[in-house]
Amino acid sequence: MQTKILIRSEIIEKLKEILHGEQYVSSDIEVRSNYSRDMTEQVAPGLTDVVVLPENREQVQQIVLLANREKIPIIPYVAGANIGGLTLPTERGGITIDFKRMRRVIKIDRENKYIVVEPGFTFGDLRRLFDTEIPEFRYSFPFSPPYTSVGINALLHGLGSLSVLYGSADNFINGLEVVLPTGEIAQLGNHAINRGEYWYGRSPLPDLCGLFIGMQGTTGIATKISLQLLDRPEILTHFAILPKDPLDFFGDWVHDLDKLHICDEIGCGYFPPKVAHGLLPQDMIDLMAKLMFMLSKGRNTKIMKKLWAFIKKLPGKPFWYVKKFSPILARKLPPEDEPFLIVGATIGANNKKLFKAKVKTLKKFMKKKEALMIRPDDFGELKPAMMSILDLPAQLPAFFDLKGGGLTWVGSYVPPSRVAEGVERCKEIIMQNGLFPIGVLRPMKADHYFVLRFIISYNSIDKEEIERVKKTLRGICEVVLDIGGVPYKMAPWAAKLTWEKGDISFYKLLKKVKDMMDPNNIMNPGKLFVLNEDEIKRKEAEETQ
Amino acid sequence: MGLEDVKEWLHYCGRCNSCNYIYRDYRNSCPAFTKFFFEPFTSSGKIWMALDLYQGKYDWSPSIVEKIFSCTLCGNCTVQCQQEAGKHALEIFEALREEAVERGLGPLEAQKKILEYINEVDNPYGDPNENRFKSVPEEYFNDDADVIYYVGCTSAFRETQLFEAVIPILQKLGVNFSLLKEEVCCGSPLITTGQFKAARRLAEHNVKIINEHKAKTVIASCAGCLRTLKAQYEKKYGLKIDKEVLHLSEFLARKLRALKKLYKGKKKPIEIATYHDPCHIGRHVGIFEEPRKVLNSIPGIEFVEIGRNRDNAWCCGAGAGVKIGLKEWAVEISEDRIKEAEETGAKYLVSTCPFCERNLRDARDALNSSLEIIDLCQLIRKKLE
Ligand SMILES: Cc1cc2nc3c(=O)[nH]c(=O)nc-3n(C[C@H](O)[C@H](O)[C@@H](O)COP(=O)(O)OP(=O)(O)OC[C@H]3O[C@@H](n4cnc5c(N)ncnc54)[C@H](O)[C@@H]3O)c2cc1C
Ligand code: SF4
Ligand code: SF4
Repeated sequence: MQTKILIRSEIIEKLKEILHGEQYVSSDIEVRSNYSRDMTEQVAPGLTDVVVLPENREQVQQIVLLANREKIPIIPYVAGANIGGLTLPTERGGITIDFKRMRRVIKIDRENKYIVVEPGFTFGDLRRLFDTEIPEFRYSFPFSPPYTSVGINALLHGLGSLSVLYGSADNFINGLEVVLPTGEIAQLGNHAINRGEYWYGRSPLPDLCGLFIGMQGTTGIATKISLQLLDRPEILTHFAILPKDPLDFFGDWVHDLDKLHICDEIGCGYFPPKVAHGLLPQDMIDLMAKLMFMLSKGRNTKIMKKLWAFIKKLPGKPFWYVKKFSPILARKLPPEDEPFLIVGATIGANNKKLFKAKVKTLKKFMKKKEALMIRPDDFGELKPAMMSILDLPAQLPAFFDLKGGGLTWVGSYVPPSRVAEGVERCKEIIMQNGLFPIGVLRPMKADHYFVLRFIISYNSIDKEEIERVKKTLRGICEVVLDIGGVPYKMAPWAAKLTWEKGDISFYKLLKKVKDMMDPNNIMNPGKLFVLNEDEIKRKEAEETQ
Repeated sequence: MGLEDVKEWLHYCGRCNSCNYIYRDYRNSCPAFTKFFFEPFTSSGKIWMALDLYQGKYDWSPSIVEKIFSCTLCGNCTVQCQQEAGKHALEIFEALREEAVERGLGPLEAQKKILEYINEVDNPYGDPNENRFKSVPEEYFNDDADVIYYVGCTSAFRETQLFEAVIPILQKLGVNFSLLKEEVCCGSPLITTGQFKAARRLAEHNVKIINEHKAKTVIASCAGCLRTLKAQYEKKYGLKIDKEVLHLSEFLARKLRALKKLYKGKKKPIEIATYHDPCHIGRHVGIFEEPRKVLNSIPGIEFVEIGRNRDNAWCCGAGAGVKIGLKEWAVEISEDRIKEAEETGAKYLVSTCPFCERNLRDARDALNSSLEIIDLCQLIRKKLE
């Protein structure tokens, strides 16, 4: 490993001055190495030179001014959990800014329903705030570790529990405070006009927040982010739904379900029993798999549904009975690697009457679709395990254990009309490469777009497997682009495929904006802007032909 | 033991950061993370660092040693981690320490004194070991006793009030007990600072004198001693104590009826107490309920749970040599605990470990808090008066 520090020692001394001492500046090799990798298969071409932990905007500004003067790369970092290799340094090294000390809530405005937070404020912090101080609100929680940044997730077009209603999390951004690559501070959003009194929205101003959304920290650093808080309905209940045929679900009736406008949340998990072992208790997996198997075989559906209805009424623990009766239900377990689909749907309402009406509509719909609908209470003693997945933020299920520490994927937004095809093609590629298909999918914004994402768990020290993983990811990315989708939080290699596929005018304008904002290309180099001049020219030539 | 022994688990951590926060509570769990922030101070960062070192990506250095020893081995991260990595994290941290010592780079300078003292006088405080039971009457050394009370160095040399509280309680309960004249340090401060080889001699000696005694039960009032006698001797050296080893709180929980009788007629005004779970008997051994049971049975005590409790308890900061190696920081960790205890409105912060008690008291003084830091046995004794 090349461990040489590329920046001059005076720079490190200067950083110590800015951060008032040594405690929050480190160029120790073990620190640099730790910040130069992540859980994905991507390998950083270099090591970061120094890691700093600023406490406030002023310190961030001083760091940026110094870096810009010296043309040193800056890599913004919160938890490095983006799954796109987006906090990995390039061969230019640089200064990694870790925002964990900037974790404060700056403002909670109950009346105008927003919160202003620093970049280090996490989903765990937000959940705690809801649990302890502002229970009247909720937010869209991703299915990610709770210790990732709420603000940065929004800047990266995150997807979460309320996406079916509101779309990706950038829709919640009311305004930003940013430090530009040249060191100036800018206020973006309506609070810029009312001088910070109300951070209540972005419109009707020209939307300059867009200069930072989806930009992966390449155009500046957000130091404050205002996010909308959503009203929490008085009654909220999660249901688990087992559709009979996953492809039929994605191809057809999830879209009908969306049209009903009765669900506050819809999230889909599509994985084989083998994978589920780390996520749910064994009994539950066996049961789900068996139920699914029976449903999909179309045979005993009626008998089984009757039996299920009977079992649910029995006192005690329905799942215990199911386990008992399961030899009758299905003589054998379905194949360990055949994925089954479980859909989490949440219904919310402010009064019992409305709630009941919604549940009734959902039940009727499920009956028509021959799907099983299970309430958390039906899970008996397994309810907490079920809730740990339905009630976000979830603690990260045992994804790392499946193969050995590695986790990666290509996440994408695709047209709803092509999602079923995407699921089938991605699953095939994954299985062909000897990996597990673990799909986490969501309809977005009343079915205007759809999340297509297959999580790949791999052994992080198995070189051969890593090569298969890379091949798989590339295959998935090609499918995504082929069905009209776009990868989100795209890794540099995926960005390259994306720009190659797209109209070069988009990339050229984006690059123009970047060059204007960051003339010394210091902000998170190597990300997003991955086409060189020759490649751009080639594309232009191809497109004019 | 070194990284070779744990190599199988070094690549299992994916860095989800869950170990730094309490599951579904979201407050911080890891003292080292809370203070230092940089990834290699955290559980995940240390595991990644261990993998780098095992793969020879870079050389060992003093800064690496600093990160390894700035961890209290409290084990909170292992409770929060839902992955395989968590199950092996403590083994990995211990392996890092042991390898640092093997390489002549660890432990921290101040921690080296522990070995010097123990080699000289069989205890880490440097006092002559003859003074261990200097003022103890001969009647407490009894070859026919049913129960051995292993006092431990901290109670014997520093926090003597604990020892002085335990003896009358045992007497009042009519327990036929004995101290061990030849008791030496259990070795915990050496084992937790990576100097486990040097502690073998102590383990062999203690196991021998305990096993030679005819008693059927050993009780310890120090959480660190308890864990060492009960779990570490066998795990580290394959040495087994052939008696039941109990913490005093467990022993008293079994004698609750008799204990309750002793309080009879002793009317007391209601006072609020909260309880700090020492890592060594809590997370490491699984004793959570017994101290609460005993505490709850004390007349005049209203027990209120502290915010982070049981296996989520915030470490007091004294463990794994941190109190000796990084004095000021150890107290800083404890200050968080004092503030948390104050939020309960309690008069007493009760512990079951003299080492925790001492550090909590230092933090209490640093904060000018009026909280009374007290061991469970001292509180019982007080209420028996
Ligand atoms: C198992 C798992 C499941 C996940 N599931 C979901 C999911 O369902 N939905 C979802 O939306 N996400 C999901 N994620 C992604 C993750 O939750 C985050 O939301 C993520 O994208 C941000 O992660 P982070 O806070 O670690 O930021 P980092 O990874 O540290 O940073 C992300 C990017 O933001 C930049 N950045 C950091 N700080 C700043 C700043 N102050 N200003 C400007 N740029 C900055 C970085 O340079 C980088 O480009 C998942 C992740 C994992 C590991
Ligand atoms: S040790 Fe466990 S909880 Fe911590 S980052 Fe690693 S896998 Fe996640
Ligand atoms: S053992 Fe305690 S101090 Fe050490 S890493 Fe784990 S939680 Fe942090």
